Amino acid sequence: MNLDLAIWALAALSTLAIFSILYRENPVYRLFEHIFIGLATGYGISILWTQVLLPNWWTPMAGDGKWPWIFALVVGLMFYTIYTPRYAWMSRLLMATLMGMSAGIFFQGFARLYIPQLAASFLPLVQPEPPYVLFRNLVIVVTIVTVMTYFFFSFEHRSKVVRGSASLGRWLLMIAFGAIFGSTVMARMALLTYRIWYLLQGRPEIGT
Amino acid sequence: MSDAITERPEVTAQRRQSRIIYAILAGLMAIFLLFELKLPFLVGPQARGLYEAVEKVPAQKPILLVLNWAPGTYGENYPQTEALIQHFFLARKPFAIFGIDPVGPSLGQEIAARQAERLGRTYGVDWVNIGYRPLQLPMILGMTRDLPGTLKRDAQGTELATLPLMRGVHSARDLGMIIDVTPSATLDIWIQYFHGAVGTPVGYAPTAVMAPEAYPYLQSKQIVGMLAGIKGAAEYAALLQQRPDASLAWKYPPMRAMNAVSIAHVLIVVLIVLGNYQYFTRHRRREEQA
Amino acid sequence: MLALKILLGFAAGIAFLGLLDRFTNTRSRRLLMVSFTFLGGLFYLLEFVIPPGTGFLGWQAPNPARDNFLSPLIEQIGQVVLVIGGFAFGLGLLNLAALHGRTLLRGRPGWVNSLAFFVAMVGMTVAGLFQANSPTLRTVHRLLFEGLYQPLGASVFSILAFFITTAAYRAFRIRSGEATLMMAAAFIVMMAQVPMGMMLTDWLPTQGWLAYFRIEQVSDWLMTVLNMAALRAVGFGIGIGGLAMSLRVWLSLEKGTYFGKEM
Repeated sequence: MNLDLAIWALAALSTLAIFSILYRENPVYRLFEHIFIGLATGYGISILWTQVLLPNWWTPMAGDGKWPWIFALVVGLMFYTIYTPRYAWMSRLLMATLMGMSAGIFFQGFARLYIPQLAASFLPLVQPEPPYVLFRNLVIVVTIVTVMTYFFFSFEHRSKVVRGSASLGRWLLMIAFGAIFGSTVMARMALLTYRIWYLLQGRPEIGT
Repeated sequence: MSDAITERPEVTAQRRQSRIIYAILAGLMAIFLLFELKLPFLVGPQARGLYEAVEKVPAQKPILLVLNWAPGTYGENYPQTEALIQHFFLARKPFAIFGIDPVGPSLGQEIAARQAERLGRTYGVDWVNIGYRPLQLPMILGMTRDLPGTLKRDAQGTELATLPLMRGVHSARDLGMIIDVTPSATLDIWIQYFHGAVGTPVGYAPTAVMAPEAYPYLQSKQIVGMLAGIKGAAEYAALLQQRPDASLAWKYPPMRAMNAVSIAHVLIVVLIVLGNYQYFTRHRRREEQA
Repeated sequence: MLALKILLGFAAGIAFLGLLDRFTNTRSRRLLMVSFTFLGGLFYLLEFVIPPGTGFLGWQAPNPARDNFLSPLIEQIGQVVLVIGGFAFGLGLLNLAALHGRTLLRGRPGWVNSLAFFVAMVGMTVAGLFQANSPTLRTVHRLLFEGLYQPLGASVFSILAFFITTAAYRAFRIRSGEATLMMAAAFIVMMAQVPMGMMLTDWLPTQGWLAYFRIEQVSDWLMTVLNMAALRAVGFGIGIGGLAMSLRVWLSLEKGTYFGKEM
């Protein structure tokens, strides 16, 4: 049998097996769900070895003679001490070191990510910009300030100004949530569209 | 299974209602996928911004195409990737596929190999596949300073320094652009450690769910453009079609998908209106009876 | 000779860990953890703030115009962390294997599914690792990857579309002013994204002041002004929270079930 056609048939069967949950819970759906998890795990293992560990660890160690790379395995095995109550502290030591490194790197990234955002929020509110630009800038500044006020939980919103600002911020946030909802609908529909297209149009021609 | 348990009548009615709605949705989508409709479609400034930024990338600086998606978001990220790769090949922009998801680079490899064969492009010269590396911030930082030294080999095991495309690439400064095709919140990494550190332009091709969160970065010019989901892919396809050298082939045509997505959106709006109408009518009737 | 060095190195590493366990107590282990966390973060912080061209005890970076004396270590540490991070994959694998192994060995309900899990995992691993050397395994890999893995992954996420459709009918109730505003914004964004929605205002001109009322222009304004500003404010909150959290982790100030555990 033509391999491409066999692949398509298997793919169509898998799709219909997953879609069967829409009718009701059934053993076919559960079976294919478990097959998916197994395949994902197996794929992760094969890719991890061929593209990460083999070229970056095994080849330098066993191929190029850089034997100190074996210590990377010793350190990596510290992760697995989490399964033993006696030695679990070693896994926490390793995790804590990696988290400390990530925290240090985050400080670098924080400035580079947020300072341009802060700078871009200071928009001109007076001329010589055209009126529609000034209006847009005003809306942006008001929205940022009021939404931030809404998220100030460190103190009680006693003053009328703060309460009004937070209330306006909540209303403006609804618009953002509406936009996110609209985008989410498109995202989900796009995924379904592809599967239906595949079932209808994805079959390869026999003989190709 | 559920046959052994007696269901309440209202649950059975709800189930039946759900199945009807599922059937209507699937049926409408199937009809609009089978029959091609030419509907008005305008290209937005975000997709146009990305397109023009790619056109401006110098020929000697490769683009890093980061593919962080998996089959779960095939419907959006696949046409985006296909559109971008066709653009790179047509405009002769060398690019390197890379991913911090295990599957993304393999999916990109399939697209690039197919398009390269069709358009006569050469592996190692016009494109390479660096493959997958697990996301570790120290590794990302290493990439910005010494990309071939940190990543070492491509997906086939060939040393990056031996590939003609990668010969001029030492650090992030030697990249023309980074484009992140992703369903996850990975954009911050490229902005912080590539754009923020050395000014590498960053493009973004997220699923539609992630797109609204990218607008702050567009306004502050930290990203040069964006393809928002399947719509972004369709916009990019429309721009590619306007090229004089447009020779395009799609495994999954984004414009055809947009028609099916259109009818789904109309159905959602109709159902929201219908649901609210029924709710308020029943509510008013209950109030009148009370 | 190389194999011997590797084996001896491994043994020495394990022995060192054994000695570390033997000769440290709770207090010294906590001190070790706090020190390593701090040093790990301090390295990157110093590398960021120390000006380029700064040397250490007469040693300079190869590229002093760009780097300080710590910068050359970034790439090497990145490599090591990449490999160590790769070894962590086995944690998830062990959990899954233990869960499904228990079900299979004890014959619990659903053992067939657990068997399918192992068969799929082993099949994909073998095909993926050895496909370069065998055309049969290449075919098997294609069947598993393109015939099963890709369509299963795509299908699992695509069924969400059905659920969002029934939710639209049953759950989206416009009961308040905020909900009305949210739905109005959602309606504009949804319809502006698709050709059928663009048809609603296609009769308006594309130039002039009336063009601003075309649905795609209204949606674009909503996204680039209101949505952008609101999410930027949310982003600032997240950023400040992330900074505070990073500081707490770096300085080992974080308390909780994981951080406060006995060592």
